[in-house]
Amino acid sequence: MTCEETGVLLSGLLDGRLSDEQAAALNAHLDGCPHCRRELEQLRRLEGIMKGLSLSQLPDQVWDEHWRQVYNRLERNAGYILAGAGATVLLCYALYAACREWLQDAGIPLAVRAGCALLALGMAVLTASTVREKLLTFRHDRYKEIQR
Amino acid sequence: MSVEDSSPREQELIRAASSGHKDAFGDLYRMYAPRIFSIASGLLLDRDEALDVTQETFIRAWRALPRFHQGSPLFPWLYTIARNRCMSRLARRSRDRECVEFDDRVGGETDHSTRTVEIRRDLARALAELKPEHREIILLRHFQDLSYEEIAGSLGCPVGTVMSRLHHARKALAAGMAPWKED
Ligand SMILES: [Zn+2]
Repeated sequence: MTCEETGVLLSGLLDGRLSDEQAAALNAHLDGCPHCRRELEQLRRLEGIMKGLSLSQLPDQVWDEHWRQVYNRLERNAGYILAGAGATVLLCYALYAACREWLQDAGIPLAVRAGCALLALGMAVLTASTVREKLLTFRHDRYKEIQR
Repeated sequence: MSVEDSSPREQELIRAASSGHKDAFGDLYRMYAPRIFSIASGLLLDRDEALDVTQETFIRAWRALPRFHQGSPLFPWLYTIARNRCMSRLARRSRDRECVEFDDRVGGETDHSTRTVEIRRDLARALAELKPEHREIILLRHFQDLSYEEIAGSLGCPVGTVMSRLHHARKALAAGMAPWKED
């Protein structure tokens, strides 16, 4: 076993993740290699330094306040989706009302009327979706400004 | 693969939250937001950005929750979202921040001895100098006490990769801590 191969196993040893064969091979190498023994010693020391240290945390009331902000954003998102859906329905109805007579005109082939109806419906959905996206982006940007 | 099984309470909250109960989602938030924040702040080295990332993570999680695989633990899934946010912020950043912030209490007690303070400062600076991938795996293993399997689940990589990346990270960190090595 070379020192290069031993390297990764040293981490496994620290974490108790080696198989019996791996541990035996590593120990055999360590017996004859002061370089790798020193490396293991350094890794153990590093582990000792980090043990008991924890990353700085925020007080609980920060999380309560933060959750309220998240909650509001979730609720508003739901509002924008509903508003988008409502706008789509209204837009479709307005288009239908405007073209009703023409759509019911038996003189125009059914395929043409159906095609025009679907085209109008598709345009309405696209418009509503674009409006909703713009609203969300606008709100998001404004939010960012308030945060800074 | 999940070694640490999700608790029944967590599963109950996930079910309720995915059917639209925001209060259940709030409980999940209180369980996991501090952990997500602490890794994000260690990774980004910036508390304000870490708070932003925590918020973005939970808003995305709320939308994606109906697609969450019921029964698996929530943390690795949440962390995957947070990690994407952090990595894209790091990629946009022109210059690195200076150090990782630790809690003042060491092992539950406040220790202000010169040596402890110096070691801590040295470690904070050395961690900040690591590549983000290395810093990340040190944070997950040493400061979140995650198992290899949990780390693999959080990073979306094989367990073997965890051992080797962890080793390279530890080696780089030990090299950065040079003054204390022979102490
Ligand atoms: Zn060797």
